[in-house]
Amino acid sequence: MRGEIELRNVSYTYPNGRKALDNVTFTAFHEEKVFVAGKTGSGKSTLLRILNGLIPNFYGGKLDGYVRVYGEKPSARRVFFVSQHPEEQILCDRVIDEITFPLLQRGWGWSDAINAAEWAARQCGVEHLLERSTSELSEGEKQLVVISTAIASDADCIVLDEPFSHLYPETALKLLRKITKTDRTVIASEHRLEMSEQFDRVFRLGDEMLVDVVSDGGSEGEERSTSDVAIEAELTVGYDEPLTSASLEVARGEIHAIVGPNGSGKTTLLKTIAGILKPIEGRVKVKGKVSMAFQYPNYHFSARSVEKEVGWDLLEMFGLTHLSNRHPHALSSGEAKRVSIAKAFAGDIVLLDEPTAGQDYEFRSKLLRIARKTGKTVVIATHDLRFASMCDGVTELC
Amino acid sequence: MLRVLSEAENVLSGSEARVEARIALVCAFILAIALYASSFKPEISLLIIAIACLSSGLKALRAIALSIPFLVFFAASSYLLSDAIHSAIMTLGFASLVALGSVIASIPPAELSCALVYFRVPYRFAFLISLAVRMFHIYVRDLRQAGEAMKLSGEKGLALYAKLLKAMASIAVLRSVAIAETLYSRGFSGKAECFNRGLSRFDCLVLLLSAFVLVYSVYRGLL
Repeated sequence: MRGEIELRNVSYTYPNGRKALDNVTFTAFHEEKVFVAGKTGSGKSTLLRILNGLIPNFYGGKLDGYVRVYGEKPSARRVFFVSQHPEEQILCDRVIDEITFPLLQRGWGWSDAINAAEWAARQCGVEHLLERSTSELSEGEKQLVVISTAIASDADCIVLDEPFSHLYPETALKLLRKITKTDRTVIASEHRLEMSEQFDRVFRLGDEMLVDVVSDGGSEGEERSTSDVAIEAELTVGYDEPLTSASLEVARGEIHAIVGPNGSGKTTLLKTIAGILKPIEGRVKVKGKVSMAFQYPNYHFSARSVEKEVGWDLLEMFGLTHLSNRHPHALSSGEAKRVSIAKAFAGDIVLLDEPTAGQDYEFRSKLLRIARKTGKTVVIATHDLRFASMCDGVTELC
Repeated sequence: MLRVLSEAENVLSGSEARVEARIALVCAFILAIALYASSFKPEISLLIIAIACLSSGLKALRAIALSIPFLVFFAASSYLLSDAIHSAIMTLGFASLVALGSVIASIPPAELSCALVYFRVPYRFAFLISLAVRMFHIYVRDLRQAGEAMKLSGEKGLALYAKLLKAMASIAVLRSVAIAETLYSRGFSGKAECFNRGLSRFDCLVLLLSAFVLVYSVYRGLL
């Protein structure tokens, strides 16, 4: 039986000379649900971009091997691609326009497109957002809108490149169940291996074995004194209006996780602790130099090389010395995230916003290990509940 | 600086337009001609600022407030080249153009593209213009967040601005490439359905006032 989507002996080199895929063979049958697993930098995103023709039509580079999608050359008409960053995938001002956009481009009538958009929005639980402006949505809501757009589209195959990294696990799982129940081919990559249970088959990219375990990083390093408080906060945070209230006491050297559903105010709380925002009510007391890694890593980079940006010692600690000569803005999103996290470890109190999004299990373990070894106070806002459970303390926002 | 950028985000937010997009475009065009025809007469500049405030609420005043450093620079330069009165008149004229810009900025991007299609601009170009307006909001947000990140890492003064500029140059390119990738992935072919909302009495009033200012400015220009 021949696959509907077939890649045989495919190799790909980016225009800058970086080889991303080497002799990969991949097949997906009609209506099959395939989970693509692999370490950060193993070429998952490259593989998925080949399926809708983004590579090489958009990116250029050298693609060798046989690629056929439903018997044709790959095209955006047959394959709908959803990437990790929702902000960069929203083209329209209103949610309803965003979901109907690909359908109208394919020549659908307005009323048919609206019906399809309303149905898809109901599937993803975002029907209440249809008349809202896309600029008012949170990251998680934006991702839900992008996934609704994929479901509404008439593409035969939906390709998802880590689309759940900004979503609360419960929401992500619910959504994944809906997507995998459709009568279309679904190909998704994701670092959280537990999600693979929803798929028919797992395709592993790269030679390394993937370990579905996050070790808590042991207790190596300095003896930590928990009597000394590094962060003390009893506050209500928000921009113009109160968003959430929290009571937080983090000891020096503690690794503390902040969890909560999308829009619960995790990032706002981190920014308030960092002193970027003022609390609406209450107070926050921080002892030490605060540094923070934002969700979008490129905000931190202005130097010409990764080494100048971060410094050799921190790069070595995080095992990123192979990136030292690269321009920080030319890194893949996973690599850029690691570099921004390494840079944040220059402070005494390290605030990390979704540091595990798009990162493999190995890095998560390493992050905990480094945090313990350095004895720094680390506060992590995360959707990754397994990772949060490995931390010394957890604060849950509602 | 961060407060200024937040304020800029509010000015650029197009979710609360009071005037219909086609009327806003026509009025901005008429009033710009009126200002030019009157040779930047101060009363015309003041009338334009008043109409801009009427059509975009407080956004026109916020936009002028945001551009004060630029206006001061403009005033000083024109004072050096002419005299104080001429400098004041030209600066007021410039402020009225900033207010007119806020009228355009208050149009939601979706309405802007439909208004341009109404004026026979091909949808492909109209959509790209509205996308550029939308991207501007994203860039302002990026600038604010990058500023926050760099300020937190201890950057101050000119070094902060230099680093911010470098970071934003790369971020703007990366964002643009990502949006272009999305356009490709969505199969953008330039097809669309456009709807313009009906005209209200308020829209007609703003149009009439703009037309009156144009006639008055031509009359004053002839005197």
